[in-house]
Amino acid sequence: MRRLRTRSSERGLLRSRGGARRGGARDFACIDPVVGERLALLSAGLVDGAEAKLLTAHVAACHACADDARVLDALVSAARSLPDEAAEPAVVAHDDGGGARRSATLLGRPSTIVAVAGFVAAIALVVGWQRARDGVLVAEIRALRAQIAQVEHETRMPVSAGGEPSDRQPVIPIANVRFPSPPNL
Amino acid sequence: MAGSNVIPLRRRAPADAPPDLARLAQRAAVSAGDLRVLVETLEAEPRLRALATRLARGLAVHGPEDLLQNTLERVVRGLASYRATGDFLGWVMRIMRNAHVEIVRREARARTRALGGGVWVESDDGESDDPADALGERQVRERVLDAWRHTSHDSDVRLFWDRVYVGLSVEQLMRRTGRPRSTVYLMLQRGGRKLATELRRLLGDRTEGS
Repeated sequence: MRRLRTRSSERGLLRSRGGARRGGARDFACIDPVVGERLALLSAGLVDGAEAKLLTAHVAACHACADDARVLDALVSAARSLPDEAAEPAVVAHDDGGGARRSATLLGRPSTIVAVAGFVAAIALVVGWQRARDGVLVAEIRALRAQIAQVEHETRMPVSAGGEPSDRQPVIPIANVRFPSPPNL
Repeated sequence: MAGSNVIPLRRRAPADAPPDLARLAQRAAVSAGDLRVLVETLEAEPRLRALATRLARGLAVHGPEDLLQNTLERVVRGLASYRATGDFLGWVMRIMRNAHVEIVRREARARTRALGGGVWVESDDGESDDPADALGERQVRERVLDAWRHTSHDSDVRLFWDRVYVGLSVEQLMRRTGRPRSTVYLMLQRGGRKLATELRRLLGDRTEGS
């Protein structure tokens, strides 16, 4: 049943040209080609007001344009309902490779993805650089602390009762260390 | 000397001269009274009746009156699109010739059904002309995609596709192409026609293949 309806509809779509080609009958002719040429604009939704009224009235009177309008409406509604991934091969075919003018689908949607990816990568780079810089600073601070501790250890002057060094002896700050003799200036 | 000495510059129109149909059609587009006068005038127009009689000779069940009525219906519906730039009667006659072709095809379809075991019926039986209604949506989309792939090398088709698939406005298309609005409109017209022709061809191939 479905198949019968499908084939019947294809005959309906082909009524103006295909039918004439097969049956040898005469074809429809547009009654006002100056108006009929603008029919695609009506299907693409680019006319309104008086122009739309004129074209609609023309389609109501003209058999040829009524047929064309059916095909164009089917074309436009199908194109609008196409998913992005379904049209992807067509978009690739659209690209002429010369770079003169690319489709909006090729420049528009993927470029947004590229822009977002670039932004995320830039943020990751900045954060990573900051972390690396922090790591270097931490290492430098640790090294300095170690040097300070070593200097403090070396300048410690513990004196115990038994003549043995003891950790309990007070540590003389380095500022208070007296050298045996001042430098001869 | 008897009579007037004034020589008329042109002959007076006879009383039964045909009315100016173009002007009448323009008035009929806005006035119901004039529309009735126009329809009555066209029904009585001898050239129109002669054409209907001649065309109806090849029809099986329809007569000249059917053809005339079919034509007048179309004329009334499409009167707002008559631009008064040409011969109104010629415009009506073209509609009548198209109506004749439509009736021939309708009779051929009805004859096919009758030969298939049914009875002779008029084809105005609710058969849908909307492809989206009868064809599967997936099939329509596949054929539209095929038509697009076959014609995507054409700049007019690409512009039309950018409009209907991508959804760009005319201003965006103007910026994209660097061309004025009038050129963009012309390209869109041509692109739509080329794409529709290719879609029609593809449908024809599939139909003949099946």
